[in-house]
Amino acid sequence: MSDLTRSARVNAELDGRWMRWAVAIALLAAVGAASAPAAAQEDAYLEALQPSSGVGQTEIGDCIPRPISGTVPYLNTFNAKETNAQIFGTVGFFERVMLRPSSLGAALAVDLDELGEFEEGDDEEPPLPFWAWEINVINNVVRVPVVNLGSGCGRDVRYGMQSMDLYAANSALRIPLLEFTLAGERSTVSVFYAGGVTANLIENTNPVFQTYRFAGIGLLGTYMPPAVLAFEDDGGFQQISGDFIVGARGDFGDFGDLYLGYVWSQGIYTNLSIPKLKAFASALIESEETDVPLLEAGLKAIKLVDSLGKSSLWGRRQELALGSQVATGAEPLRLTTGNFSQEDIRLGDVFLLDLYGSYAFEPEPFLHKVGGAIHVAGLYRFVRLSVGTIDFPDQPHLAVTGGRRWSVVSDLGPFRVGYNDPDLFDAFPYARDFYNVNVKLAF
Amino acid sequence: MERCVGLLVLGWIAVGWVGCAEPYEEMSPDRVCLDTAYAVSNRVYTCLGDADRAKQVFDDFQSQTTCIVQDIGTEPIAGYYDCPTQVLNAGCGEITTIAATGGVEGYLGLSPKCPLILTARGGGGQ
Repeated sequence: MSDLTRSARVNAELDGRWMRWAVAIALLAAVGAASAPAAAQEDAYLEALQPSSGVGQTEIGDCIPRPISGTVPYLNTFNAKETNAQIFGTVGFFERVMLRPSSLGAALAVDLDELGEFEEGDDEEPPLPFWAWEINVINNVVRVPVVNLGSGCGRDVRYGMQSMDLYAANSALRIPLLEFTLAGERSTVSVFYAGGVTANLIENTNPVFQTYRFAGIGLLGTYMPPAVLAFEDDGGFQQISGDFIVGARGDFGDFGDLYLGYVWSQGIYTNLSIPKLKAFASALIESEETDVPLLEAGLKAIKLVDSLGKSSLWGRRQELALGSQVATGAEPLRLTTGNFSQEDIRLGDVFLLDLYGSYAFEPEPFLHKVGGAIHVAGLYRFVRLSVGTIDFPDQPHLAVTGGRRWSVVSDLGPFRVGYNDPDLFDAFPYARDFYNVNVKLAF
Repeated sequence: MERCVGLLVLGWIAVGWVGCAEPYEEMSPDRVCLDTAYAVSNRVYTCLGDADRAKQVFDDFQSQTTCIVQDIGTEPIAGYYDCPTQVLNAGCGEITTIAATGGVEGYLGLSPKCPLILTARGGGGQ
């Protein structure tokens, strides 16, 4: 590509991105206008920040479920909270959404083809988002023994098994600051910010979609995560925590693309990719113990034969910290995988095929994955459906039984709904018959 | 029911069907006994680092004990939960010793509440 063409493309890309940004602002304004008044939102948000007040006080009086401590499911709930913060919190969101082209952004980019910005199947990677929001809810991640106290229960005391939900809300933005030429390469420097709120919730039988409502309200908290930290109920069980990452990105054309950010809860996050070598690496480095809880590196988007699409090969190691209630001698959960994907294999003029595989080195039991998906060219993975079965192992030390279960994961544009999603089972090995909803918007 | 309607609105009938599962269910009388067996398995896994051994210990514990909790409504279940709590709080040295000797008496001796909910088959608890 000549410098002139590249320059035109970069300019068109920036114009296109500003256009998308304008669309995003307009959408946000529309949402704001359609919402309740600011004071009401603030009240709702403050209410959401106090989970103990949100556990069904209005509909079943003061019948409040309290988890019984000293059980394995109780320990699982604390690990689930911590894992949720690490997988669906700020860093996970940033990697999952801001470092990858979104289906919605790519669909918009298709409309901008005439500007020369992006065309699927082209050698150029589709554009990365400038603004993004994400809500993730996992229902029934753990079922925990509870005691229901209070006259609202109909009897003085009721014992039961209650499901616990997790939610996460995140938002991020990237603002371009500088544009210059470095050794003939058109370069840009931008700053980025991402904030997240994660929480767990003992779901009550009556309120409808309580977890989803709180997750939606939690989006407001993503712009002030420090204010969210350490909200918890009287028993210290239900907890909302906030986190953010702030940093800068330097895009130096073929020389590389570097992200460097500070993660409030953990330390330094960095991601480097070198387009010419098709290589990338990312790491999260904890400042206190000089530990590396997240390390990923490999090769991506290698194109050898046009009709076979793009190949990627990478390794990933993530260490998930234990929850605040820890059994003596317990160790963190480590997820170490080798991954391969072959994307955009041509199936005629309309369809494309993706193949992917993952080999788990740890933890036990190993969960190796192989899969495929067919999508329509031009819609950039807008619609996907994966159906399969998982043979869950018996794991009495995690208080769960095994057996074969259906697994269904469906993507429709910005929505993902899953039942027994194998991608989540890695991180939440005690989860059975769980379902999750993920909504992300990225422009 | 409203949960179902909401999920169906999202358009994923299969997932909506699954989502109808009640988030709350009444506790069965033998749940505290099951939680004790889970606690034993968890400690063995944590202290010995062996998932197969943890499963074997769980199966053995289940087959060698009888749960004697009869009525969830009248018996002091909250107090009974001291049994799995004390098992989970046991140190690895203690767990290793009990695991090495075999049998279930060692685990049942970790809390005075354990013999109130579990008896060793062929024995009489403690």
